[in-house]
Amino acid sequence: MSLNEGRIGRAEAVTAAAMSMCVNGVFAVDNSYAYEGGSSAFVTVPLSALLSLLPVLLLIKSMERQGSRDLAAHFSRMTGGFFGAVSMLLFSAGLVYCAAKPLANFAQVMQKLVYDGAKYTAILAFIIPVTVFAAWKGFECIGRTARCFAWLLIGMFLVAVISSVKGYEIYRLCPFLSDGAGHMAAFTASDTLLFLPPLAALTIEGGALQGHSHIRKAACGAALASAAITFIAQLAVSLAYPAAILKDMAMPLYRIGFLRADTGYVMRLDKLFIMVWLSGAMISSSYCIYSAARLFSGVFGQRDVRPAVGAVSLVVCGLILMGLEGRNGNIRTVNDIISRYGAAVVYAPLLAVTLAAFIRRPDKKNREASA
Amino acid sequence: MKRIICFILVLLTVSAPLCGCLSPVSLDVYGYVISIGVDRGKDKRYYITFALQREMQESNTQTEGGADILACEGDCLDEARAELEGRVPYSLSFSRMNFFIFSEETARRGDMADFLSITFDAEKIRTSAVAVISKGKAYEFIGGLSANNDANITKLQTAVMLDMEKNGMVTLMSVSRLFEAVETGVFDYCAPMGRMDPEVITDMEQKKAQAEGKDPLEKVETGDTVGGLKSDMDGTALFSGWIMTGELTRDETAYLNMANGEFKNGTVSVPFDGSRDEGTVTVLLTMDKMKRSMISGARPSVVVNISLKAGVHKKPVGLGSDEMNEWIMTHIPGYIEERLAETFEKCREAGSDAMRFGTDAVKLMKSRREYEAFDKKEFINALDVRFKVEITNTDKLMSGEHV
Repeated sequence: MSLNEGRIGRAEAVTAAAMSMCVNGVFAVDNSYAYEGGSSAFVTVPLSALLSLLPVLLLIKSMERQGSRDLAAHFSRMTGGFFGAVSMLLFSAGLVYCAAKPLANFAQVMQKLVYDGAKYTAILAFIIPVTVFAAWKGFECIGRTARCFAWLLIGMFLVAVISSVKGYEIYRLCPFLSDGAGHMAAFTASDTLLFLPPLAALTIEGGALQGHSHIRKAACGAALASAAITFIAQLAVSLAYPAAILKDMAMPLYRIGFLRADTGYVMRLDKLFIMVWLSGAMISSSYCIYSAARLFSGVFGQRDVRPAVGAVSLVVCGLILMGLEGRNGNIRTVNDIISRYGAAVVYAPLLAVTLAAFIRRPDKKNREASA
Repeated sequence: MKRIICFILVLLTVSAPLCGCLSPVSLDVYGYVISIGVDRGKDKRYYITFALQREMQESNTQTEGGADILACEGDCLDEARAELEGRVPYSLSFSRMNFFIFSEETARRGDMADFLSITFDAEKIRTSAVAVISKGKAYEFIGGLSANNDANITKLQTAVMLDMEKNGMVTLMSVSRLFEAVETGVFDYCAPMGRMDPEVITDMEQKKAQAEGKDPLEKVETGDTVGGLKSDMDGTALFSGWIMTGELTRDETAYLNMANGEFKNGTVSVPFDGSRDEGTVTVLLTMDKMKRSMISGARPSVVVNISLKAGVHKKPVGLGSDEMNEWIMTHIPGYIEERLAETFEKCREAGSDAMRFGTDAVKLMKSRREYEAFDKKEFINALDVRFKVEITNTDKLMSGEHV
């Protein structure tokens, strides 16, 4: 059997999930929607990260009640073979989106701002194989790699934010939270699309995490860490650029050092930053690809995760290329629809399985086996 | 085994940055543009000048370096670039661009809006570049910057920018702030004003004279400027939206920087007892803090509290330290307050919120509707501004008489 789950500690699990959530919350947010009405993303984005924790905690509780070891088993047991497969596919779509979106954004920024004349395929040729290789090696490998890179990523992130402090202005946040409660609530709910799949993916790795209690603690840690980091990132970006400019800007954190006219070459570290952050995005995508593949293998009873990793990777790669090479108008429309309503697709199977687990009588055999 | 796998993974992930090797490009394939000058064209809309960093041939070659200048007419940046690239054996790269230099004529006609509507990402131009307004032709200003044939013209540009910190008489705002000012309509942009003085005797001219066995200062007369660049910064261009509407002198620029809290150090010479015949007092001012208190209402008002540290650099002959201290405390604050008020009025006359009081007004707003209804011009015309300056004499404990 090659499910490649391995055994990892809570710190690795927190790092892998938090890294994926942070990458999505910082580099994959739909700015045209987030800054449509004002600069409230520093509140709504971290709120989305925290809000994602609630359904995940309920899901873990329901798994505990039914004695399900991991999400794949939970889907199969609670919704049956066909509906289990449908639920799995819907949730996996969320994971695939979370794997593809940040890498597509990075490839776009690198093609536009870093490499003169390089094609998207050439840039992706260096990114995708490493991402797939990590996913191929499994969860333990991803968790430990994430832990190795975590401090480097946090360090580079803080250097970028702190070195641009001189360009920050409070008035750019004003009028304070004036987007309107309706817009803020709608954005917070839809933005959970970027946080819920990687956070809920911890339940897929039940075997590697050794028990529901560990999954719960890892989920809480990841949600809190990602809320803190996305808050700092979105606040820094909102202090650096007004909402009117941010809504048309791709990856504003990369451009945070473009504000100051007096920097010279010394402070032009943006190219270094993007390479380090790209490592985080690659680990994040590996985590999402592996999780989707592991869920697929679990639901369909496959004993080897690697073919599924290959298939999911191909889908992710195809989506990235479609996003980058497709006709701009069509891609924007599809992207708008996904970023506004995609969260519902991910919520539906999770809520269905959670509800089913609370309605159905607990299976004593499973609970005992699980205990 | 796991360690080996992790190690291989880390190696593979770290190798991602090597994707630059995909399309390796030799440095000499590019000509790095460091300044773009924009003048009105004869047949086409613009006359565009590119100053390129000249690469050093050998590290010990003194005469190499400096800038190559390319220029032609075009209706936009890309057109001029395409035409010039056909005449040189390299491609023009804008990734090291620092200055956009617009002639005063183009700035006053509002041509900046059209010229800067380029996609900065596509051209790989950083929005941290600065727009400079040249009093004469932009190409003359660029020529003046490279007339010295200095080894590193980018370093020269940086030195010009550092003037802001040294004497407070240069204002510096990136193009991203220009876009912000125009997009939000909350404040107005102000750009450093440059000029080219053809009479300056540059270091290069002195070296040439020396090489010919002549006295390097042979042609110098009293009043001539000797050494350095022919181009320098000389005040501030005031904008209302995209259009240049006025200008400030170097001294007024220092007060503009004070009001914006961007002043660091600078000297001010104040006539002693109202007349320069009695001598002047030269004081080095260092910004301590600046705070603005805005009160909204039918007639908005703002109080600008500026706290400065003063050190005496020159005082009238025979004046004691206690008298000097008393004179500074009674005269300097009032003098600076008057200059600040004059500078503000000059900005107001130009219809420009260069002191960025609009950003303070926005802080008091509670709703989006209020923000969208904000009329900057109306606000500036109605604004009542009071400047309060406080001075701390840092020389009080270290006067010459006690040392």
